[in-house]
Amino acid sequence: MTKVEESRGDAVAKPVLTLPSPHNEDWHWSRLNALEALSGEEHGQFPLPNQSSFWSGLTGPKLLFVDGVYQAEASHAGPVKVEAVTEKSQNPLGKMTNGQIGWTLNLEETCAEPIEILYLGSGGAYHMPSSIRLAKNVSATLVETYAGQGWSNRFSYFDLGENARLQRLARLSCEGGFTSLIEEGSLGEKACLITDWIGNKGADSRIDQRFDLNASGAELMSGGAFLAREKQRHDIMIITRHIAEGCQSRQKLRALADDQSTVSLAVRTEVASSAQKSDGEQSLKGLLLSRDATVNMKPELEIYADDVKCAHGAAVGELDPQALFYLESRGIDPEEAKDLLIQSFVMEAFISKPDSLLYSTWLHDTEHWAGEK
Amino acid sequence: MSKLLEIRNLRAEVDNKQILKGLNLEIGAGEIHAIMGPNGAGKSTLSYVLSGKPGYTVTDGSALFMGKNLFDMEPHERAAAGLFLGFQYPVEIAGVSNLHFLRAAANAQRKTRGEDEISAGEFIKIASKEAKALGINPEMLKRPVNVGFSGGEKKRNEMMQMAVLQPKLAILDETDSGLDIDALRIVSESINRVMRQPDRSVLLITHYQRLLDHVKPDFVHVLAKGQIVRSGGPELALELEREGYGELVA
Ligand SMILES: Nc1ncnc2c1ncn2[C@@H]1O[C@H](COP(=O)(O)OP(=O)(O)OP(=O)(O)O)[C@@H](O)[C@H]1O
Ligand SMILES: [Mg+2]
Repeated sequence: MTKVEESRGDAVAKPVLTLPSPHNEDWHWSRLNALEALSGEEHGQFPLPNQSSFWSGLTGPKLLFVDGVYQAEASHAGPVKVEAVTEKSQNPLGKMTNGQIGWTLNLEETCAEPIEILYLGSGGAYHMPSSIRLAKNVSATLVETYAGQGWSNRFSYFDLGENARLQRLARLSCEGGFTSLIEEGSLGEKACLITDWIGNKGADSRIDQRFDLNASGAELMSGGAFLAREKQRHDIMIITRHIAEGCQSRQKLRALADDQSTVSLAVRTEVASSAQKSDGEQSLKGLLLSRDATVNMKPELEIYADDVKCAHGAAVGELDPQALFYLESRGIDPEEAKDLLIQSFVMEAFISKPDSLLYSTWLHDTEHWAGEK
Repeated sequence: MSKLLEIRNLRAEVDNKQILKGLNLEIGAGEIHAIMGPNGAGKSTLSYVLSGKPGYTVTDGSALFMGKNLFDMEPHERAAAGLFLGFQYPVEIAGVSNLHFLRAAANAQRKTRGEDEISAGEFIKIASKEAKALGINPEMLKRPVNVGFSGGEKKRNEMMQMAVLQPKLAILDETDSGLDIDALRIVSESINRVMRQPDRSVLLITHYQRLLDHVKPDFVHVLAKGQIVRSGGPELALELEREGYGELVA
């Protein structure tokens, strides 16, 4: 277990919460009042999970944060710097990270090895910003893992130069508490940001990704699988505005809800009149594993340009009994058959290239969820 | 000869509709039986009842498989005991690769029987060999189960599963329909190779004599209105081909 450093500055004193309430949020979002309780709690209420199972075993840069505090002795940061982040968020949750210490990555050259960042929580809250800047033609791979307990409130800013490419995996693997990810930034010409989120454990979550595609040919690919059980909630919102010509955006989200859990997916794509030759695809699917579970979906397309290719699909269903029987008739027991179908369902949401570390990690996480039931 | 399957007075319904109405059938080890019969007679229903498909309710009668009550077993346990159903309409399963599925099936059966699992490497060898024998492109092993497969490819895929799983009793529901002439020959060869053995049996459900030219049945039965209404040797199929079901279904 990693020792929690006690050297926290005044900057992390408890912030005053001004969170949105259902009055000023317009959809099926979970109430954020629980966060007030979480933010008032002390760190150290829960033992930290064993970190070793969360690292890939590769030799790239690795950073460990415990309750938002950098653990230098357990990290080798490579090109990543732990410092204040200048970019600010206007998002109500994102704002809480403004001015806090976080990390920055400023790459002038391609980083061949994946950069891994592990955030462990022992209870209580932390608010941490980060900023990634990739210069022209630079590519990088990033794996961020949230584990343990408490409220992890993270603001990520992305600035990708022309033709830069970032592939990232965000693993929401906290056993309890809340994980909020606020993601914003700017993509240069033909820059590509690929994100795969996976929520496979017990924490509630909120993801808020907003990008304006201001440079032609930029690509924003966002995939996610959110697996919820008991009274868990995942709220995902992606707003993409196509402003320049020839940009691509894709959102592939899969929601899997068991027990009395709720997953809400809201995806909004706007195509401005200037954004000819835009290519947008929204694919939302939900799978209900119990009668009391809920999947909310809100796919929205607002198109003001005439020469565009936009598709959207949304569907909620149950496990296919024909497929279950087919598997069982070959000797696979009902639980394993169910797990196989669940995996095949969430697999579609994985966007990064299937031969990467991201894929095997992602696969491991989906198996893990299925296997636990 | 000892009986592999003994069905006595089987009555079964689906959606409260009686489909099987007192069906009797015995299949001995090493025998190949063919069931023919008009559309809607209950042939597929029989195959589903024997393999345990949910929604099919046995209301009377019994089925013993190698001396054990089939209806006391879950579908996966029946498979592990050696029952295989070749589906009339194989199911597509997006996102699960053929190879992964097959290995999961083979290992699940082994586990249920208390045997050791097959390693991934060893399994690929077995599956590739069987794929080759059936003229299945090895690339198809990587594709999701039956997704985008042609009708004939799906049937070949069923036969590949049978070859890998090595069942004691294969119920093949219209495995011949949708096969081109060459595929029919290839599939028949694999049925003969895998299943023509002293301790194995086949129940072929078919509408056509041409399959029976390749896989020669020892017995032929006519299923009509939920019962076996006539049984005979291979000559019965030829007679039906010439004369139709006529009186048998009246
Ligand atoms: N879910 C169901 N509800 C009501 N009737 C059903 C249901 N499923 C099957 N049946 C009926 O049961 C009867 C037998 O069907 P089955 O599929 O067993 O016929 P079959 O002998 O295999 O026919 P075919 O040669 O066309 O394949 C048919 O009349 C069919 O309509
Ligand atoms: Mg049929």
